[in-house]
Amino acid sequence: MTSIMFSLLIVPLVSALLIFTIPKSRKEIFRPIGIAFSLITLTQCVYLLFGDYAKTEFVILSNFEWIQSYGLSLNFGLSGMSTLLLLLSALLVFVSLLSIGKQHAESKGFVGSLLMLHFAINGVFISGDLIALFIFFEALLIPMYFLMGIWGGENRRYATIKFILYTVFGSVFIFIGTVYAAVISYGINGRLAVDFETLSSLIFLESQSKTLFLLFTFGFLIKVPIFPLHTWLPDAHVEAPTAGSIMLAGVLLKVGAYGILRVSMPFFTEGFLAYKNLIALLSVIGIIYGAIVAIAQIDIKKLIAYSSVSHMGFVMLGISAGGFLSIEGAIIQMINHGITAGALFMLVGFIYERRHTRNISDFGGVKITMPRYAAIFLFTSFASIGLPGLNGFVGEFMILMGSYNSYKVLTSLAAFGVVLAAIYMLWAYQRMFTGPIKYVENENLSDLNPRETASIAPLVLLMLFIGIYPNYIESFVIEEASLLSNTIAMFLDLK
Amino acid sequence: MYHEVKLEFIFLLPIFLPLLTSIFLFLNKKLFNELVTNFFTLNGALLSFAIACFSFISLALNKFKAVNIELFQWISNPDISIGFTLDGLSGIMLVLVTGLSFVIQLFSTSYMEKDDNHSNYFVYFNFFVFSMLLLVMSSNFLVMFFGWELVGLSSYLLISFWSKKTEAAKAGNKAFVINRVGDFGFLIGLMIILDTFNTFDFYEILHNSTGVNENTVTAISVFLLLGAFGKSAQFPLFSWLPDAMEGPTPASALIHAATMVTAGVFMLVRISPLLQHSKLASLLIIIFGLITALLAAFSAINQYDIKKVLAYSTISQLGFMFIAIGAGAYVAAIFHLVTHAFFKALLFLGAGAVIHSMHHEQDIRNMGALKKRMPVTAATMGIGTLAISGIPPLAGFWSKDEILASVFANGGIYYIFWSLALGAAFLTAFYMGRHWLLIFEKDNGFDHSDVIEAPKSMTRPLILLGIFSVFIGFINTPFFHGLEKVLHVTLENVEVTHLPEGITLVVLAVLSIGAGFTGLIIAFLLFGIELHKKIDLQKFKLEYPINLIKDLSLNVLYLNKFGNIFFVSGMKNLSRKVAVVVDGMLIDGSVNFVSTAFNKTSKITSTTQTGMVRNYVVYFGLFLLLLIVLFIATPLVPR
Repeated sequence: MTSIMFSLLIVPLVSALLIFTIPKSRKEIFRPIGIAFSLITLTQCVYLLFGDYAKTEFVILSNFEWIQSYGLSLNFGLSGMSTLLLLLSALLVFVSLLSIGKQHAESKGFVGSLLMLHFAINGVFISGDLIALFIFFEALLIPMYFLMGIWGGENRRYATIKFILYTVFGSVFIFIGTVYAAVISYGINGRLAVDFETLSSLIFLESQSKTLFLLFTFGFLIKVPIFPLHTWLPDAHVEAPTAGSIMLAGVLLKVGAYGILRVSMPFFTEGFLAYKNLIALLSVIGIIYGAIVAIAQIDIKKLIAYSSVSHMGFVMLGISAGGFLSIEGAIIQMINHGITAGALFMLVGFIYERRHTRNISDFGGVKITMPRYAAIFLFTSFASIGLPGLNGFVGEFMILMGSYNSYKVLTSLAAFGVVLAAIYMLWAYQRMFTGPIKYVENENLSDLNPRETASIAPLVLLMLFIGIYPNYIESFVIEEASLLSNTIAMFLDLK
Repeated sequence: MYHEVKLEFIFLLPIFLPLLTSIFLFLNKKLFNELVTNFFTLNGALLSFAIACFSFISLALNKFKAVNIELFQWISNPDISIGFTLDGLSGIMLVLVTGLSFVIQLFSTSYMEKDDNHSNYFVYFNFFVFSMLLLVMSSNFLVMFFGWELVGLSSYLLISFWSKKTEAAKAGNKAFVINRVGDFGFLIGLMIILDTFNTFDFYEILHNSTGVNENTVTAISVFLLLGAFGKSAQFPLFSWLPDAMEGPTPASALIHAATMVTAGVFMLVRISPLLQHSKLASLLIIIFGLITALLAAFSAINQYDIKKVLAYSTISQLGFMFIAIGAGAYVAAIFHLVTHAFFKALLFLGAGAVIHSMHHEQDIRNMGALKKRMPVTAATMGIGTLAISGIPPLAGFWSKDEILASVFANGGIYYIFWSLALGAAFLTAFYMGRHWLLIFEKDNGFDHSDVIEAPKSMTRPLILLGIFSVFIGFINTPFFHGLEKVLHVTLENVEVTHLPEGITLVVLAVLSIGAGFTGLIIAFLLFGIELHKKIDLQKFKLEYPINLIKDLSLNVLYLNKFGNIFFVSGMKNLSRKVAVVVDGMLIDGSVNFVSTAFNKTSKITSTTQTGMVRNYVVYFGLFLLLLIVLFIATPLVPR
């Protein structure tokens, strides 16, 4: 299991380096190489599903001494939530590589950056201590910077810098938090150990716990993003190339919530209890606010970006409610939103390549020329709206049902998000796909080709599978969710 | 024992057969021509109906003892499974839905002939039947919610079936969104249920409801009620149903008249063991039911779209079912649901036949005197009209009379409710009489010589439904309580309102028949022999009030306009303002402000870094001065 875990780092890294060494003239082989390597990673992730650590809480499997005299080391491990997120990332990298148009697929920088991004993402999800987590958390930004800054839209400079500055600003707090935690750990153990096992054994003072919670959570919440720290997201999404958007919405947003579940909540529980009401409030504002702003968008990509703010609000609500069902729901919602938002961005990418516009008003009646595309778009929209039987419903339903106990009014308000979601998604669909064809440009659009269909198909199938039989995906997170909710219940009892 | 095990699996077949048909037709869309599609869908529906009947008979032989089956676990903690139940209530719905589905599909094969998306229609249609059965056969709230939402989806797909027409697409959207408003209530109801009972299972919840405090029961009921309002198009969430008439007419017949819209009624009867403990919820139900019944009946009297009259009529009749539930007459509600399903499906299919023969003309002012051209349709629709007007011994009489009598039996303020309901019954007869007369009787001078009777594949379903509309009422009369026996086990812990005895019942029946007849007669006087043209109306100065009534009726008291301005435009404005002002200027503005502020301060500070030694000497001197001042000043500070 350990060797597979490390190959999750090595394979994307090696494949990226390999692609960088191939001469530019062999442009047709970049995509096949990328796909081949991402398939290897995907297979390994599927293998992890059946491994020993697929249903457990986080277990550190391996550690390297880094600065021995201070007891600093880099730790790596696996857990149920990590396994699911690793699988999601591998799948999204694979389908992004398959889905991107020629222009991107034949650029070695693009394919290479995507694989580097995969490397960093995998690193985040297997990190077993704060230092490794911080390193990979930061490493994510570099390939993302290139993807957005080089292959982005017209206003890419502004969006990229905003994205980087915003995230780095949050990272500063995470870094200070890491140092502070290390100092406290040194005071108790005589080592600067900040691996997750040590952290969970430390007992922080209430004030320490609160400070640490704030430092870490602030950094992570920017990444989620929570209202009102979300404005980097729409800009980033609009300017990012399709594959960048898929990875951003599909995986990068999850890193923030993952950090809170992995670090802030279990280790700084007293801080969590002190600030959870505030987070819940902001989450619910985000759910409603994101949806309302989404209604007004004229750019379909921006609409989906704001819908992400709304959907991630559900994740944060589930986390802050802190119950077993709600945490389970939050984790599942992370996966589901990754699948659905990824699929939606991919679909937008397909039509952007044909029409070079994302304005909703430039379409209309597209269903007539692209029936298959329209059907898949509608299907994905319904998954995003949270129709029972599709994946989007599962997480939101569990979060709502699980959070009601802790926040009766807030959760009831959050449920109104399902109405607003129907409004913005179906209204956009109506304007883009139904009615008569208004513009000549839309009369000769070609429907999805086999490559494009193949790249969206796995996501569509997953939406259906998870929606009908969520028990399977649930089984991977039961351990972790019950551990987290037990920790919280224990601290609540102490109070 | 062996018998039971078998039945569990058998009653799953009619639920999943339509799903399989739907998937099968979807996968072979390109392969099958119309004939093959029709063959599969009709035989599938017939088979499904046959098995449904068999299941129902087995259930009856088993004295309506509920049979449950769990397919698989959906999530593990709380333990929620995909489970189904067959009892009296779901058994009736199973037979009703599959039966009507078959008859209406038979009609559809002819109505949808040569449509470009012929096979898609049947894909959606079968998917709807599956969703509806999921809803009615569910053994817990989760599966019911699945069905609840999926019927919404199939309804959306069928309303916007001809989505090249912008109106159709908009109507589909509107239906889904308004239904979602109801679902918002349903979801909150589910949260409270799970919080209170820690399970979604009907049996456990409904049999443990006695100990729960009344406020919780009221909260659950009221929120679930909001869901029922959305799905069953009750005031104030009704305006989607008239718009839904953009869909193909047979689909309207099944979904927006006979089955889906009754889901709210069904759900409330399902939770009646809980509902009966909340006086407030029952009162709300009857009040909203009355408002809806009256408002929709009033709106129906001056509509000109052949389908919209029927749509408002459906809303009004659903109001009657809600009145029944509010009065505690759960059996009467289901009874009216069943009879209404038949005569309303009949009326809709009749309307479909007329539209078909009139080459997609829907305005009844352009029809008239079609009686001779389309005798079968005219006769069967006439039966439907009499049935819905409550003329004995047709189906509608028995169920409507039972509702009215049950309301009366509650006494007190319910006497007022009864008289209002009677008024709604009168209006029903009036607008239905008008409807029939304008289409088939009144001669508008149009030349309809090219209009011919609808094909046999359309008239046969009409005749079949016509026969049922006459006789189905006999399943539950004061002399034979058939339906009550069927529902006996389902409602065993429920106190059902009993009908008044003896002479009261007869008087009430006479009054309700009277209301029906009066309505029909007035309609005949106005639209049959056009009495108002023969009398000089100027004398009475009635022009203004009549025009006012006509205007208000046509525009549904301007409620739709109000809703459009207040909710649709209001929402758009709000979201635009929030997006521009709050998100753009306030939040993002302050983010950008911070970054420009950094930029500016760094520019200002960088001007001090001149690189010239004399400037630095000055800084050094100033700093030294500051230190000296501090040094001197320190002892002066009092301790």
